[in-house]
Amino acid sequence: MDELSNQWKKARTQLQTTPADSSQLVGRARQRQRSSQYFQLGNILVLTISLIGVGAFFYWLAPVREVLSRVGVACMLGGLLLRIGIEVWSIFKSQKIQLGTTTLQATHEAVGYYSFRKRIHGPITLSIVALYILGFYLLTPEFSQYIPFNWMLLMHGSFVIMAVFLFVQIRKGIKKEMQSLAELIEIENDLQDTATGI
Amino acid sequence: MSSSPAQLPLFESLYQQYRPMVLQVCLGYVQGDRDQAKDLAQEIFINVWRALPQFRSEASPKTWIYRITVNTCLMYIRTTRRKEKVAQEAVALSDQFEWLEEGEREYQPLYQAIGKLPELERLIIMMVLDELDYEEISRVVGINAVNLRVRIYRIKNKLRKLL
Repeated sequence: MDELSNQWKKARTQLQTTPADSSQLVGRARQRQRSSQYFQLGNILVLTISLIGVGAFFYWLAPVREVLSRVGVACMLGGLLLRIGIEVWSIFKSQKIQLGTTTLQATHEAVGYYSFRKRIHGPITLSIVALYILGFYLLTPEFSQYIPFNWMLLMHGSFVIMAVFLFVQIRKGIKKEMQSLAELIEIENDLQDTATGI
Repeated sequence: MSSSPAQLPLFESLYQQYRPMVLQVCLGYVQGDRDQAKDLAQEIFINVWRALPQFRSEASPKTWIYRITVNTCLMYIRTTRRKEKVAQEAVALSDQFEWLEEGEREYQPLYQAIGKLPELERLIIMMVLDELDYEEISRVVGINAVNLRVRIYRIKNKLRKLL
């Protein structure tokens, strides 16, 4: 092992890099931090604009009168509101992963974050989508009184296409995150086994 | 919380002092792949900059840099799956991590052998090769030094077989 250690030291001498300017890296770090914040806030902003847009549409442009329709609007808006809340909570959770802590702790926090995402992707996302779809269909009876049949058909058709597209996109994201979760759990178990002397 | 300009001198000193160490760990972690190692090293120093406000002198700078290095390596594959953009940034900054390629080639078998170990074992054995004592490694990974000793013994045997 001593020989390997010497080899390792010699290998490092080959990595004696020329003095470099760290300010370029700092600039990149700041830029990365900003774009990460913009991305996270951007998601919340898009959802909030959608919430306001849908709300404004039903308040000023197409105020519904029947109770069933009002329940439908509440379902749609409620689902969006829930989604915004989850996005905010998700940012909070992701910021809890501190890289300057021990591997055991950082892995534990990362597993916690991905497990939280797993819960969101599972029953919570399904509930939100279900609420949205339910809300949309609860509006159909009242809408059909004012909108011609062909337009109703077009509206439902595009709704289904959009739902399928969204489903495929969300599924892709979920698969990647679940793979990360499985790998991190494996590392965490490995660390815990070592910690308990297994 | 983000790092302030007042922390620049500290970052500069950590960067100059630990750049070769970080780069070498990255090389071992990615089986000697130079481009990936540069990319990963860049990611580590970006994380060092971001974590600087949390740096307390409870841990030595070396232990702290090792913690960030190990944690970033373990998260790296997971996050870069989603961020192809990182590779483009690494190309733009690659001159920050230039080194003597001729001499480095000689040690490729060592990096490749280390890279064949499971992820966590790669990182632990590199700390051993860097002559960190068990207590220091324990402070990086968060496992009791006594239990770590047994684990390291097994990793050493695995590495010997791979070389």
